[in-house]
Amino acid sequence: MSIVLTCKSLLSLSPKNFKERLKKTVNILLIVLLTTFTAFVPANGLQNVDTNAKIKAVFIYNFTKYIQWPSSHTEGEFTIAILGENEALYNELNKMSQIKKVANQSFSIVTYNSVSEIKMPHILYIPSDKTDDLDKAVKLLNGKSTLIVTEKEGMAKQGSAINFVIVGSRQKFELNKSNVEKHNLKVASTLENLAVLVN
Amino acid sequence: MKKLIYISLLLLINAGLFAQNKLSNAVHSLKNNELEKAKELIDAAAVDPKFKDLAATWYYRGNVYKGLFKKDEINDKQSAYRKKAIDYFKKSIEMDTTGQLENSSRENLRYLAETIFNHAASSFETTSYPIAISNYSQYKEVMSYAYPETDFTEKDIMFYLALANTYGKIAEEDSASAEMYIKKAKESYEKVLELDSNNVSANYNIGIIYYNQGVEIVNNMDYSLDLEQLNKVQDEIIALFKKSLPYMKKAYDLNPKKKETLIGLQGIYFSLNDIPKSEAYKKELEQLEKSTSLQKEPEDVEMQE
Repeated sequence: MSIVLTCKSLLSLSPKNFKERLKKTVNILLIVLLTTFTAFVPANGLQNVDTNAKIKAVFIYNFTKYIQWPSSHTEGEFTIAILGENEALYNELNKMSQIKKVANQSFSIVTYNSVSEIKMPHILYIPSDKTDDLDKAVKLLNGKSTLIVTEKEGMAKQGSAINFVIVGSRQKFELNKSNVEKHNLKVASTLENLAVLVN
Repeated sequence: MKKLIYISLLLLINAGLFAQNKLSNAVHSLKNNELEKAKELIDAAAVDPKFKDLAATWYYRGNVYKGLFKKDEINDKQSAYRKKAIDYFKKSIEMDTTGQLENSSRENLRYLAETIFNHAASSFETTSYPIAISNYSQYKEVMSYAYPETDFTEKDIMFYLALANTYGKIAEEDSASAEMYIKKAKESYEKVLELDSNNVSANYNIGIIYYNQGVEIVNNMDYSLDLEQLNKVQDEIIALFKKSLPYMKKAYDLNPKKKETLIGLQGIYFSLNDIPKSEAYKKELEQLEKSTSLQKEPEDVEMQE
């Protein structure tokens, strides 16, 4: 009995001020927590990479393996030229040039601002915004051992040897064998088998 | 003989009084903030047959340990005093047949649970995040006990977002185990979407994770990869970009004025070789940036004046 009484008296001490203090503290805590959580902004960002440029660079490297240039072109640097500006592809090709070779030939990656600047590269890449210059480039390089590569629908029929096309989101390439051969180049059957052939 | 009986009775009464004092003295010490003394007394009461079955003993023991936690271990994310205080308040509730101490015990449990939550929130660092996980789980366990109706949805979302963010940081710092942590981040974001499918951040980040996985494959691709393999790799990355797209689109639908989402959509469509759509989002981004800068201009003028 005495114990029960003692407990009751203890209960009368049951700290109301505890409760009040608790409420205050919990409120302060919640403010702290909300502040902390609103600071949790996602940090993971989108990788800013032109995936198409890398894929094209891999294609182009493969072209150097499956297309044969005349022996007169197998010494010195292997030049890949871009007509106009294509920074992403230029950068990718440069990266490639630092670690890859064509047989013993090192790569040289150059940019021409206009057709008149074109010398005699092994590969001339004409971006889609420069396809108006295709005719002029074809005429200029007539009979020269330059592989002309484009990236716009229909270009393989208008003079380019290889034309990148999109099929179901995937990059593919059209191959116009006669346009290759007009430039004294030979195509390996492996490349023909993987290409969309165009006459 | 009579005298002996009197002495024995007196001794028994004294012993009883001393026993009673264990508890009341502990409370007295607690009120005077003499916590070490209160601890000694209440610990003794807790093993005393006369007090160990009383709710009040455990209620005040909880309060003493809570006081010790606040005094000595307030910054200890895994405080032993706090853990014990929780156990004692729970025991108090279990023994409280009258219910007189119940509300206060539950409030105390809430307070302690919130401190655990607070410590979880401040542990989302790349090295201390396991504490965040364990503390958050403990927080939920205590709150579920004290207030079974507690809805954790909002806090779960915040927790999984913070956890995913931490996994993302670890992946950035530790390239050797990046894949594993990105997977964990994705799983955490997916848990957020299970709770709230309209969460912009989770949608955006899952979109980013799939997209970046595709980009990583491209980045690691050797230039001499043969063409047949290249086709297979293209299929693989396109599948990832396509997986990324619905999440990024949803993030965009939920908040069309978010620059990052527009950049994301522009990048995904570009990688899918859908240039017209990529360009459309690029234009939208440019317009958004333009309107943002226009909105800022008047303020700038005012400031100049």
